[in-house]
Amino acid sequence: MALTLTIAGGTFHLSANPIRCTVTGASVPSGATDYKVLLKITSVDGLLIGGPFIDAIAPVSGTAVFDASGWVDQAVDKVFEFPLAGLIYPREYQTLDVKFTPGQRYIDSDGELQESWEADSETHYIVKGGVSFRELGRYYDESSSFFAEYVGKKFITRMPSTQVVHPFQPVKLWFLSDADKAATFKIKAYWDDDSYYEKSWSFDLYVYIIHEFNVLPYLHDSVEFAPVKAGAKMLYYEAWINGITAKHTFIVDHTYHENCNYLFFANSQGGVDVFWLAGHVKKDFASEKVEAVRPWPAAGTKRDRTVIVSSRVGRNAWKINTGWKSRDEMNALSDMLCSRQAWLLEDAATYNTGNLYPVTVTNSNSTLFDSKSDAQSLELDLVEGHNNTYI
Amino acid sequence: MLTASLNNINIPLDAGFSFRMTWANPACYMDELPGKSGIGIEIPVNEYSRMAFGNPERFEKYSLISDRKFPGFEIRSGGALLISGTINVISASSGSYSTWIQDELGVWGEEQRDKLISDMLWDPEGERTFANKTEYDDDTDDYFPFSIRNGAFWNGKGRETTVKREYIDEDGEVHKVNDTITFLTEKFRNNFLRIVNRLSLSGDIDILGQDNDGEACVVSPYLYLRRFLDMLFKINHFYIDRNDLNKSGVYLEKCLLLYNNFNIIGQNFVIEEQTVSTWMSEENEWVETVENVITGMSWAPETFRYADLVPHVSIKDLLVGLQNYLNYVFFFKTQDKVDIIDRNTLTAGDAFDLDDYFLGEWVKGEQKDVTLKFINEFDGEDRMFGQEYHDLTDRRADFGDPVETHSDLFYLLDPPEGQLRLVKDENKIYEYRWKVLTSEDVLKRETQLDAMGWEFISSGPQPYLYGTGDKIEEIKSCFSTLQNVNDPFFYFPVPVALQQGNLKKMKGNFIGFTPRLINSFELVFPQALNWDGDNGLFKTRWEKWARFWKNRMPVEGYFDLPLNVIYYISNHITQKFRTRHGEFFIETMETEFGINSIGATRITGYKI
Repeated sequence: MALTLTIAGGTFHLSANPIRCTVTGASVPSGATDYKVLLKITSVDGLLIGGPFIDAIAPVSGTAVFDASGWVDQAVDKVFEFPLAGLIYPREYQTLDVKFTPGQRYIDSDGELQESWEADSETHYIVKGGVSFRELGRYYDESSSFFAEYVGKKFITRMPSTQVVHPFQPVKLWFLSDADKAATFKIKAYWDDDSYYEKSWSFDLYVYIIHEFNVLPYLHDSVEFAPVKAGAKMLYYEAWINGITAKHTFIVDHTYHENCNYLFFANSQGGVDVFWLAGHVKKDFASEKVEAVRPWPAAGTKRDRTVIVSSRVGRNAWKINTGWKSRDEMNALSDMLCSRQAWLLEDAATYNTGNLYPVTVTNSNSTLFDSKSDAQSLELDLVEGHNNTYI
Repeated sequence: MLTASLNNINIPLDAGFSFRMTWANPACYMDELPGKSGIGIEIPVNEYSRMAFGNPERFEKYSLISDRKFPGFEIRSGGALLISGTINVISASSGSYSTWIQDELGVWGEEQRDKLISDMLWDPEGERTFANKTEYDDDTDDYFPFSIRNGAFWNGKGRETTVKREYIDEDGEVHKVNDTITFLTEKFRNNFLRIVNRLSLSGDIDILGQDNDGEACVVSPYLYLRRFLDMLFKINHFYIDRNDLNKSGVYLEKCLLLYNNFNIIGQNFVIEEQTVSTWMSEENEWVETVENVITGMSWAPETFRYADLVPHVSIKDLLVGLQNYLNYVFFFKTQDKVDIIDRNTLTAGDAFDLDDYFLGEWVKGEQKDVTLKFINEFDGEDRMFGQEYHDLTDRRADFGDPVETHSDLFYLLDPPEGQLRLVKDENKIYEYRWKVLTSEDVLKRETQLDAMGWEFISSGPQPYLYGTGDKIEEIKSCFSTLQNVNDPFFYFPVPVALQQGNLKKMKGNFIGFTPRLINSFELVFPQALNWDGDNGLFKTRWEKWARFWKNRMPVEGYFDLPLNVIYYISNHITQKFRTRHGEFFIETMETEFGINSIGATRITGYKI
């Protein structure tokens, strides 16, 4: 009897969540021993290192359930465009394209090992990320999945659909498509004189890439999308893929902020979100040294020393307040606090400027919401992602 | 997420659970077959684990050793299998079971520790019938009855007889002396020219002999090495995956046979009751007894078992011995698969890049400068290797090039005193030294003379040495080969043994034989199983690896490896790896796994 492979959750999977591959129809041939169902995971695009991976499980009642996530949860160095240059950047190497193949093995009555394989599955796409166990439970209860809720429908972000942004904030949205197809991306901005301006881009969506969109209107037209146009201030702007996603609204905060920093972080769904840090900043420099003692030289002068620094490294460290944020935005911060890849764009009050540092967010216990306060903020502890010997 | 299960039943783990897994590269081990293991596993006592392992208090008090082993245990991370095998409970308390996991290889090794490969189930379907053919090929045949000479096969078997033997004394005179040998030995000489598996004129195996009666015939099917390994693993439920013993065209490995001294020719006795009179000197009278006297024998091939054709060694000794002889490594993988990997090609292979995962700096050890000493265990039952073997390693500087025959020694001009030479066709080592010549005159009076000349000091061959370092590292193998001797009947060197044989009728008098390989294609691969020479084992099978191994530099480093890369390494651990600092071989890899984390992986190895 032929084996049947069923993979729960569609063709897109988050790497850190269980990828349930259920093989049914297994039956032990007459005289066979040590019967096991096999699952082979093969990289289609060659990005998944170390494959093909083969697992074997003894079936229970003709069914074997594999979890393929361990094989495909490969570290991905997230990339994103900055300085901003264009609307769309295809991130081809951020998804792993794999195929699953069911098979069976057993020792036949002659003592020979028999292995056979069924046809490959269609291509599945693995995105580095995951959702919480609570969310997995909800998916199960509602017969839903990451694929069902996001792929081809929503931008992959935990950030709220309405955010407050700086006029020159490098806003990004990321999208996974469930099919190769034509689409139109739209940005529409509104000013306080009731004027508005909309711009559209026709392009093709591809199923095997993550699409990075740079949404900042000023990037696309510095005149028509100017934050202040003929004295009128841009109130907000919307971005969406026409007929595919809902609109994301970005309320423009024209208030003067002494400090303007942004935190880019790899979100839990494969994208890179940008969080505006508008609060106060304290910048430190942490250094470590190793000292050594050497003898006083025979011809020592008053410039010579006996204690030398044999090595010294240092790294930047920041305490930056997020500034006042809505409860929804603060809740979304938890995604950032679990992220293992973050970058600080420092001193970026003007368009496409600032210094980008890889950083680690070191906060351990963070209060995201306190009902005693109407507005919320959080002080983030950041350290540079390098130990430098020279600056 | 890390999960543990025993026979598909999940065992909840402590939130702070972690365990350390170790992998080892068999290519870097010369005296064992390393597997992987998981150690330091603390399983919390709860209703699930108690059901699996039993009540801990009762367990501590009453359980036997065998009660502490639980096969079917698996640990997976994100669904990916890290290790499966038998979990061994060391101790238990009210809080946890202290355990470690042994992989399939370890379990198998333990099962086989006190057993011999000849005890394995070689013949599940019963005895086999000998196929007498003109051609054998290891693609289709399990064995090849290749012709060798063994004049001692029938020694100690059956009645004895006296024969005249000629010898030439020091004056060149021919004398005849009486020798007592068995009747069958004499018959084997005459009927089959002492040849085991003698060919008939039609090209198949001659089972009748020159007297056309088959008497004293010896047929020993030698298992092809590749088929032998295939069967050996199969009966132990391992299956060869990658097999570097398989090559294209004509190659040595295809022609290698596993020697045995078992005769599959059976004897059907014609028995007559006869009255036998024996003079009893103490009683001073003749005593008559009625005995079943064998008055005749008919000789024909019998069914036989492969179990009788394999040496009586343990599986570990056999595999390690083969590794250290032919330089093929046995790498046991998951799912009962084993790779046979050519170690000599590993230094030339592609290196897998681990630079992206490298943490910190390499810690380098002291570079080795050793002399490798390849030691073979010669068969003590084979008089071709004799009892006069002495290890001359300490005198390796005194060795000159081997010579073909003894007479070649006398053509050497002014050999330095103390020089050693191997005489190949005798397999003996002579030293040029001060010796005493003794001669007799016609009146048997001895005269002694001091002289310089070549004197026998040891049988050969000697261990092969490679390197110049003072420290010697031994690479020991229980495998060896037979002595090849130029034979006037064959016109080329043939393997010769002087070893008593085994037969079904005399199982009680088993004569052991060590693992030895026969090169059945000596004409194409001359002296390929000896260490010396351009065709020898060192040049063809070891030189590249030995060059690296004698000067290897130990290194140690840490890597941040994802599971897929750990999987790759653990399945390709014999190959080369690299970082920006250069290439290296892994000796061991060790990773600590937590419930939701994979710790830094410690790798020890050798820089190339």
